[in-house]
Amino acid sequence: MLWYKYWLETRWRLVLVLVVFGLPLFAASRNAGATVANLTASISVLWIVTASMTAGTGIKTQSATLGTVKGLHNSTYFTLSLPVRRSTLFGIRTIVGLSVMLVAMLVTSCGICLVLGSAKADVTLAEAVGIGLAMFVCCLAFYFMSSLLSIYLDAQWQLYGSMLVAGIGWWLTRSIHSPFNLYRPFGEALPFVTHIVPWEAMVTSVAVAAVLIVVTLRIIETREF
Amino acid sequence: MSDFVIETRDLRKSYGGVAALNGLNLEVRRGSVYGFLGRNGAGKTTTIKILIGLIRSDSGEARVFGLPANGAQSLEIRRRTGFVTEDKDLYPYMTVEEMIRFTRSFFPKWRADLEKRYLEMFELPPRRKTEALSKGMRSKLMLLLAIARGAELLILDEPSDGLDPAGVEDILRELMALAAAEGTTIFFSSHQLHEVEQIADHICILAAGRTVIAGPLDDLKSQYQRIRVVLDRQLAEPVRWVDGAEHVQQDGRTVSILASRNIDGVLAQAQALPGASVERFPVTLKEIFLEHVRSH
Repeated sequence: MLWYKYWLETRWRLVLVLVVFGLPLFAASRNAGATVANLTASISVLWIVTASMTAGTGIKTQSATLGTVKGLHNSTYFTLSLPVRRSTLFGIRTIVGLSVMLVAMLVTSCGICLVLGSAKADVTLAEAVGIGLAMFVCCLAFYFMSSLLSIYLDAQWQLYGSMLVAGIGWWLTRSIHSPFNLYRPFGEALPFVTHIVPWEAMVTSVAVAAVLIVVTLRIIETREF
Repeated sequence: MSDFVIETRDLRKSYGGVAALNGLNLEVRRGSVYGFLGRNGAGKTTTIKILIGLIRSDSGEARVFGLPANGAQSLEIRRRTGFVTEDKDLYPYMTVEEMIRFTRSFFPKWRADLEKRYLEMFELPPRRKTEALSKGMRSKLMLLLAIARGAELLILDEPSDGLDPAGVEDILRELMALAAAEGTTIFFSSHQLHEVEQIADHICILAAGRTVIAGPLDDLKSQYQRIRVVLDRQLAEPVRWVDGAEHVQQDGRTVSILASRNIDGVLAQAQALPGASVERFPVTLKEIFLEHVRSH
């Protein structure tokens, strides 16, 4: 039933993310001059927003609608008083959140291909699926960064905080042109444009995510909410 | 097996240098109905959170079912315990029915008979979302979720909060029946002292994070007497009362004394006053409570 609880908390976020991604795609579909380069550039930051949105408030109770709850919703105490380990709560919340994020990213990358047409987008539907998966892996670091912040921030500030940290990260690494730079697939090395799978950035993302998972788990096991 | 379901020894907890618990000692006997009393900020909710494993004590020891509440076995404690939180907040987006289904999935010993009984008795609307329920209705739903899991121990933080007098009566009656029929230990905090007096067989009064008085309620009440002295004229000088006169209040020719221990000594001293007419009365829990928290 924890799966059900977390699905109730994230399903409207999936809808919101799809709408947010859908708007530029819709605009592109009405614009004969739209190119894959300018379309993907216009939505590049949305991949990171999606990661923060789907991470939500972690193991704490979150609004099922898109409203944000200020502070800690006291039903969190009810959750924590159940005979379930906090690591299990975190694990199930993560699987639900990542599943929602994966769906959003696959739908978006396939949407780009379908909206622009294979010829204009210069990728096949199968390649679009591959790019969606690559973007998903590149977003893991941002997802778990948001997850970590959600321990300390409420629903409202978690999103702002995540975007702030992501912005600071981009600013600090902007002059690093290494393929391991986590931000390259969202900017200068957009896979839709380069047709190159950003393996190095994916490795960085997975490594950062792994560290953040360990840190988050250690904190939530002892954190007093 | 220990006779005590809950035991704490010198339990301490501070928040930012402010002590919430200051060496708390508790012993809650199996099958008892235990009233846990204190003013706001006395440390009741902190104690409850430690027992259920939501927070950790700084030092001292807390055991539930003989298991350390701070340790990994807190999972086992939560499996055998029903908990009603202070705020009565449940998932706002779930209906009553969904909340029950959700909670049931964690407890293999779930009592469908009790679920049905309380759903009907409390008149809970199954299809209504919990955010649309009044606080009283949420209290009832939380109680249902705590009881129907087949818990050996119920830890209830202000269980009657938000209920109308009829609702309070229903809940108190059910808790007493549960303790009698199933042998469930009930540990509850409340500010409604008449409710506590109605159902508790043991109490603990907490002040500034430590126990100031604890024991069987009947014993405590028998230890105390209210002695009223009516004099034929006002005393010229205040009386220096013997040991045992806990609280003395003088209003004109009437002196009211709350006596503990040495009641015969206090009585004798009162009767020795010139022109004194002395009466003694049993005390209420409220009087005992006020006497002990007033001085802290």
